[in-house]
Amino acid sequence: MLKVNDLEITARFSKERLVKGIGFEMGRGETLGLIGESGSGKSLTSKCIMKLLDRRRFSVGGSVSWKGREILGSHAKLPEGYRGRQIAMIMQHPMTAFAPMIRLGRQIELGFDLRSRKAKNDFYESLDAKLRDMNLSDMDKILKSYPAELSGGMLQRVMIAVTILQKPELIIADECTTAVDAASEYMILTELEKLRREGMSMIIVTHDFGVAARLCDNVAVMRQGEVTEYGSTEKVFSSPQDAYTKELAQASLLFREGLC
Amino acid sequence: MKHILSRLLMLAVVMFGVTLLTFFYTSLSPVDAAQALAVRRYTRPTDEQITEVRHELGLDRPFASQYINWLGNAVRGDFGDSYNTGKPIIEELSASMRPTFAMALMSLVFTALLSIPLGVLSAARRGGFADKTVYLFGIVCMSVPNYWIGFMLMIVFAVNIPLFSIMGADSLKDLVLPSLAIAIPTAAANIRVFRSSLIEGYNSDFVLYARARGISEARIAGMVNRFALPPLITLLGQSFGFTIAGSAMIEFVFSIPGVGSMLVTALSSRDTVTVNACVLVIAAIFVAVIFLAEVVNTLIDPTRRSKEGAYAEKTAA
Amino acid sequence: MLKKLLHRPQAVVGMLMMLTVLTVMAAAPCFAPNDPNKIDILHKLAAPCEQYPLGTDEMGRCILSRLIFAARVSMSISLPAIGAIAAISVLLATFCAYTGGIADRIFVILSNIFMALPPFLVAMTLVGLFESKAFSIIISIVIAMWVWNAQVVRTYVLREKNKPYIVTCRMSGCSELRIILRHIIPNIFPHLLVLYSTGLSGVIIMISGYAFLGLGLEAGAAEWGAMLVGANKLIFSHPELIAYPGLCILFAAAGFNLFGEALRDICDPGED
Repeated sequence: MLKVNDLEITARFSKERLVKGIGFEMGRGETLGLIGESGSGKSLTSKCIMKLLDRRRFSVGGSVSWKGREILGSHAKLPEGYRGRQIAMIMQHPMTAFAPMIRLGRQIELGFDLRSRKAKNDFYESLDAKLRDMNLSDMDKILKSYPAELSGGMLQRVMIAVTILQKPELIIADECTTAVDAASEYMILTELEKLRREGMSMIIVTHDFGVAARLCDNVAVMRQGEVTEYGSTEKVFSSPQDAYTKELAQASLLFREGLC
Repeated sequence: MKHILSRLLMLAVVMFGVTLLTFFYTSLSPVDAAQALAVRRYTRPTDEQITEVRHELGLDRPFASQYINWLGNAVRGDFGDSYNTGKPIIEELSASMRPTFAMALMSLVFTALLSIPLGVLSAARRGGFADKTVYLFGIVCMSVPNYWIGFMLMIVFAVNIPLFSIMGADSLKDLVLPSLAIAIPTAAANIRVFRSSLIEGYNSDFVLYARARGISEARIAGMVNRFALPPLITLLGQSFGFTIAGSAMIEFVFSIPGVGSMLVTALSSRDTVTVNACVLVIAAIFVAVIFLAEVVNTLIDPTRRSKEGAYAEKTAA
Repeated sequence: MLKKLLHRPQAVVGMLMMLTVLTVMAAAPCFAPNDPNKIDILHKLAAPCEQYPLGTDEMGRCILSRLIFAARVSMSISLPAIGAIAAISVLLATFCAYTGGIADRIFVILSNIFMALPPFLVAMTLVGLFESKAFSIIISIVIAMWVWNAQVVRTYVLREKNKPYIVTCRMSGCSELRIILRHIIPNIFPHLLVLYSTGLSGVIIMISGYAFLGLGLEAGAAEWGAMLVGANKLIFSHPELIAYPGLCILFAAAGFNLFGEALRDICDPGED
């Protein structure tokens, strides 16, 4: 479904190669983990897949193909609804992901086609249900609020709900549990697990081994722009080949304790 | 609601402070009003005559009592009579305020018409030829006095190509050149601010997420504008106030009988009553317009913090 | 920082312009062909010739010499003015922003009041006050403009104050005064430089405006704004008399503006 081949991302200003020719493949229903520490290039890769990189700051080489169609390149036209309908992204910092001066309800609506009354009603019904699943019961109040009036954890849960309602074919979760409190993290991970069971394809970008072990079928470990290890979660975690992977594994507390 | 009340209170405090300060300033000058009037009346006034005039004008009373008396009248709209012409100041003030106000309004429109499109252009073509040209032009326009631009406009459009008249304020057409002259340097500064706000907006996370959700570029542009407009609006309000307050030079160039000229005449002839009245009205307008700008900003972006730091925030790059 | 400046053409141009103005100011007698105040009625409004490279004005004075000496007048008023504004705004703003509390509230209220005062009014009333007219102009500019600068400095100080490294300083026992002098001020210094160099160009323009209205200078003094007064009546016949002083103002102010803006681009890249 998604194929990344020899992807290269270079910062235009400093000429530094941030992602040095990486590649991986994903099939339907698969959950891939992109693990690595800060600066490994994993966020850049995920943004690149959605063609969200600022072309002024980065130059991109290699290929990303979605369902057989090439995405990269200035001449490549994105398929209809590529961003939002086919691939959806969950951001790391919920507080800044929403525009500060627009009410949440209005902002959320902008991303959906709610012209018919039926579409609108259905939408709000589903949204309400999803929010309740994550312990947010007062949908009306949330929709009327401005982002600054809600906590980071609440906003992240709202973002997840919205992402699910977009009914995408692939979800990219870019460090979505890093900046939230433990309770919200738990709820988010539960939702993601639910999605996985329902057959959603996902890319989980994280630095937390525990999260990856819990959610992912396959993992690609990234370090300084390169994929140092790639394979099924079981194999990579039980017998890591690369020294770096071993280090990361040791460093992850949850993993060590075997809690996941 | 509470917010509005506290702003109004601040307004009142500011007005009080401004008028008090002006009263103080005008009383500082070595040649005092009584002397000036006496000279006009008697050519070579004796000391007795000067004292007589001083008593007549009430200038021999203590400062505080003078001020309170004046303030009491002023709030009722009675500014007294000009020392210079003897006519009621309120009449003269309304007459001269008309052209100045019209000019300020027109220059506000021109400034907005220049700043907004050029700001958007500069931000969109960031780093490109258009951006650099606008920037360079901007620096040049910011480095000259607006009345000199007035002169240049006059030379080109009124002298060489007789399109506009060079004096008077009889019709709106007369005010086009002076308003343009005021608008050009102001717009130059505003463009920089608007441009950097737009760039900041487009680089922010919420635009990234909006794009990730597939929201159209047109809608995103709307969001960014709501983000970037408030500082510009604050600046526009301030520049309106500045125009009213500092219009003397432009009025001189184009022979417009406005408030600026009135103020200059009053000051040089020590017509302190007129000066105080003018300052009160000018300060009132200034404060009111800033307040209005704030209200507009709150409508666009209800989550903005108070205005106190706004100007400073924006100038502080 | 200096190296970065030298790499930018805009900054270099700005600095060269600034240097030119300052040189002309310092060595005016060397550059000027004639005495700027010498009246030569017989040759009034002469065309450019050998004796008078740019011709003469309506009183027969050499235009070029007047323009050159005007640099001296402008700069000798604007430099002290901006210096005083800098001193006052840095002292006051740092104190208020750092101390916070009541001092800060009072500052905000005071600055609102001063901001509502037309700067121009202050200038006019104070002109006759002092013996030296130039001094009156300096004082009035300082009184009119200190608020705007002080507000900006206050913002900078507030921002620095809350940065983590300052907090650690305080925790490791640094005295407040030391923090201000050794850390805060040096770190906001580049921003202050931007503020005051662009501020200086604004002051130059203000001075020319006051001179234009006849404030603060002896009659007939050579100053760019003042030169525009006489030229006003001759707008039809001799438009160049208006153009020259304006271009000088442009050159002087633009030099400081270019430098300041280039410096601003360095301190606060913002983009890319």
